[in-house]
Amino acid sequence: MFDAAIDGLMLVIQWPAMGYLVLGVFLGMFFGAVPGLSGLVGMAILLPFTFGLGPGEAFAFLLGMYAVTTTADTLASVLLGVPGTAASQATILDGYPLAQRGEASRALGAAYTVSMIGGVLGAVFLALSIPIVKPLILSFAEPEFFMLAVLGLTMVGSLSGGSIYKGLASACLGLLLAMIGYSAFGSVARYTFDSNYLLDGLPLVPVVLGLFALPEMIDLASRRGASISRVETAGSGMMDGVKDAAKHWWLGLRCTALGVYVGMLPGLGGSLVDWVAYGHAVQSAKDKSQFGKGDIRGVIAPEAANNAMKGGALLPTIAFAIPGSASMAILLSAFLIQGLEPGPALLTTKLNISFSLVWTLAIANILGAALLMAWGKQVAKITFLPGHYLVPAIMLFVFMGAWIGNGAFGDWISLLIFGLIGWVMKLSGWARPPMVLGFILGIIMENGLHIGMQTYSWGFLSRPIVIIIILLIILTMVAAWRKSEKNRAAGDVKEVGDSVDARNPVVALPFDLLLLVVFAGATAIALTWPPAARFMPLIATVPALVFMVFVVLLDLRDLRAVRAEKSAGESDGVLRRGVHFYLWMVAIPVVTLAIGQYMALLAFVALYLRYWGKCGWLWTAIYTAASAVMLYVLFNLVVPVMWHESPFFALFN
Amino acid sequence: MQKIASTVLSSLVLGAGAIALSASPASAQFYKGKTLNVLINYGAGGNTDVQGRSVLRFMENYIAGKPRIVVRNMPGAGGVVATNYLGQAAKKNGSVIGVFTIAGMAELTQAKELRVSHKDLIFIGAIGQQQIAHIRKDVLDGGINNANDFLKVTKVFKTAGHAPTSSKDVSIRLTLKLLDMKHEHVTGFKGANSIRRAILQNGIQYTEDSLTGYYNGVQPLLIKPGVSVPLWHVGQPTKGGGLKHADTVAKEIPTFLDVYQAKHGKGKMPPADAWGTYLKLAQMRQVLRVIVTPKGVPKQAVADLRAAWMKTTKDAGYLAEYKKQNASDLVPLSGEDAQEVVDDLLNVKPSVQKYMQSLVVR
Repeated sequence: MFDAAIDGLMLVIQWPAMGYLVLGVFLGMFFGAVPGLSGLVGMAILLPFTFGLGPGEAFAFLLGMYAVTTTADTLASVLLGVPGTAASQATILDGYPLAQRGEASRALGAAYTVSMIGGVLGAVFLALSIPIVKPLILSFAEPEFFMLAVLGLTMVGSLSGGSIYKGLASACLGLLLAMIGYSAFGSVARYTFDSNYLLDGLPLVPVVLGLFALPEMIDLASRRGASISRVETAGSGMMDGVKDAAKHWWLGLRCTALGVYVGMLPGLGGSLVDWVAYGHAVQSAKDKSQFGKGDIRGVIAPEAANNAMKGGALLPTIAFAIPGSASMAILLSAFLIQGLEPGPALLTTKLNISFSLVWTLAIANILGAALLMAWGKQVAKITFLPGHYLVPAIMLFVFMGAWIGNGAFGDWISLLIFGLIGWVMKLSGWARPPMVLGFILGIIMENGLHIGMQTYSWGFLSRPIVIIIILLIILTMVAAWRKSEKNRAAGDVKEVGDSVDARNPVVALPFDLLLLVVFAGATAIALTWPPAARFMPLIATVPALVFMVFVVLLDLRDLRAVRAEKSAGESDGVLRRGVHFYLWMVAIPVVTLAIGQYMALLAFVALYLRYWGKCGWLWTAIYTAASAVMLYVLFNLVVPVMWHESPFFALFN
Repeated sequence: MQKIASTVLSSLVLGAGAIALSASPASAQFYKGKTLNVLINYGAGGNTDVQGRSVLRFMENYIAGKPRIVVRNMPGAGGVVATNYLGQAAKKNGSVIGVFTIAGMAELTQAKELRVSHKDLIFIGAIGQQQIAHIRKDVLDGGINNANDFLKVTKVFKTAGHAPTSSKDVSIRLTLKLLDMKHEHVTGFKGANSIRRAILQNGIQYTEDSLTGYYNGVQPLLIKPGVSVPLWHVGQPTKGGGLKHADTVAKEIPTFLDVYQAKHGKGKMPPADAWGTYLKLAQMRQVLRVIVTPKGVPKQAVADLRAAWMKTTKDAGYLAEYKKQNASDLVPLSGEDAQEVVDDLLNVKPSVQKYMQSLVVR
């Protein structure tokens, strides 16, 4: 085994494999940092380039890229409040507030440190687990996945913000949204309203970008050019973040282990891991008061987990040829192209290849974190720039990020709809994380339940690991209840999550009523479907209707309190500007229908700079020209997309 | 207003300038200086995606004018989403084609999600691929070593597929019904890999896989370690309505018809509608992966693409790569032949269609 490890190392550090690894790391930083791109997009694009390479070079290239996307994605999450990839959604909950406090460098320093350590430990875990992994993976089937998803849902309590009822209803909304699309179980299209776009369900990236990124853009544009950072000077530096990572080493280690296990179980997926880790950080913290407002532990937990996950995800791929994600399926193709047969051979006669993967992961994680650390301080300065200079560029990335995955016009509509929902939720004390959690877990739960029941019937519930997870669920709920009772007794009733300070019942009540109608309508529609197709939607909507009654009553109470307290003030002005800016965003797809996507985006940039940013002609021209070149190079040459062209002229076809 | 107009105009000029820098002069070749957008109707990393990207890498060298190729995955509803898009929404100017796994079963069972007919598509080429059924050996006390042992199984076993309307599910239901084998069908698995995991865990015992999946996934994971055993393959339909052994499948794996006749008697054929359904499934395997454009595309575009496909099927590099990826030789069809097969495939007797729909248990 030692010989194989050394042999594996030699495969990676010899030329040209090392060169490919470094190239992969640079590309990975790009794929991670640009919202909407991801390790999966990178894998799909780079795979054909490995056809002529040997195994050492090919895997160094692919895994070098893949390893660092979840390190680089922190940049957008922390600095801009825009999730760089699906694996860094939770990072924005505390990373962005830290940037708003002028502590972006600290957040990045902590994130890169734990990403590196998490990534390396994930690789070490991969190396150590290779001989013993089989029984563990084989003991998890659909019943266990269902129960794990239910366990995941128990985190809703910790992520609900100020109102547990809103948190629960938000999670139900996420579950309901996950049910949109063609149901394989009942062979019916659910909530698609005859739309071809919705047949495959709502795509995660536009939903998440809408929920989290657009509200921040509305906020930034509405604050009359104020910078992201609300203080004038940087509060702390990268080294403070490194020290934070050292201080919270035990949390980082626990989240690393969580990341490895979530990654190892095929089907759970990378978009879940950061939420699991974040939820764990909140659940296990004694003082939760700063979560959602810039608690460094809220950055450390997801960032340690999302890098560690990759070592775990490699295990079932190389040991059983069972890829746990689409990225790993592409890696599996790379094995076949190299003439390697995943499975026992990679654990015996080709063990050196397996070790080369371990070394690649470890080296790429160190290299990626070191490079990002070196640039982090400079990059963090963008949080002190006037917001109007940032908004057009970020908007380009958000809109193109939403477009890249499917290249469908519906993605922009989803982005805008969820942008509005996210903004309203932010204004009205509705926590968004439970909704995302419900959305991610919904399909895992439905698959687990249906296939588990068909396969094992009621024997489902007597499986040992299922019983253990049920006990864990009960323990978690009891512990949460006891903690909340303790807090109540101590007079501290505030819970954790985003937007706990914002509670505008004037905005909330119409939203509550709309949701009530949505849940009632969804229930009525679901009742017309075959049992297999309607079961999960009803699991989401029926409890939601009950929660909504409490939500409406509580918001009515708040409304009375607010009316007694204050009248319209500056917040109404911000609200008006927010609505104004939202309409500008809506104009992008509308104008696209006339002049095409590329030109519409550039027109937005130019008009925004002139009318919101009050910029002069020269600056507007330079900025727009730079945007034109950037759009063209990134999205037409590097990662080519199918542009939506004007009906009157074509630029790209 | 004037300010808005001048701002818009300036941004348009800047944008157009950036594009103009890379523009090339027009030429007689249809695709010269153009972009060819390629839809793949399954997600990144799947068999359709990997095979599609692989064929495009070689085919782009043979398309006259060498267009720039942009690939877009458009998964959903068993390939139906992209098929609908190509037939209904894609521009018919030659700028969009599809590399699909054919959604034939959706059309044969008249699934209402499918809004276009495959008859409304022009076929550029196709790749055929066989399907192999396999079962865990321990379903029978003493073990199953071949199809004859399998016929001795009397206890109920679990089978797995992806959706009631998928061709895999229909094929499993049909073949096991014809052999009078007791089974419980579990559907809804997201991909072939999760079924393989379930077989390894003994939650599922039986399924079918494409040849690519069989050689690359099933063989290393289930066959070589002695967990499962192959039973039969679909077989190559013959003009007389029979089946012959496919060249790409190992000799020791019989066709389904061989196994059926081993059970019911030599020369005995299944009932007409059941056999009609089976032959439709077998025909579908002949055009499993297809390259298609919507109808209405300029003739020169179709001719250039068909010519490029035929040259690709003779490219030694592509043939070697296909063999490496799929562990079997390429079985190509020209666009014209594929069109003929599909037209025949969709020409179904009402009684066969009714029988087929009876196999779709929702």
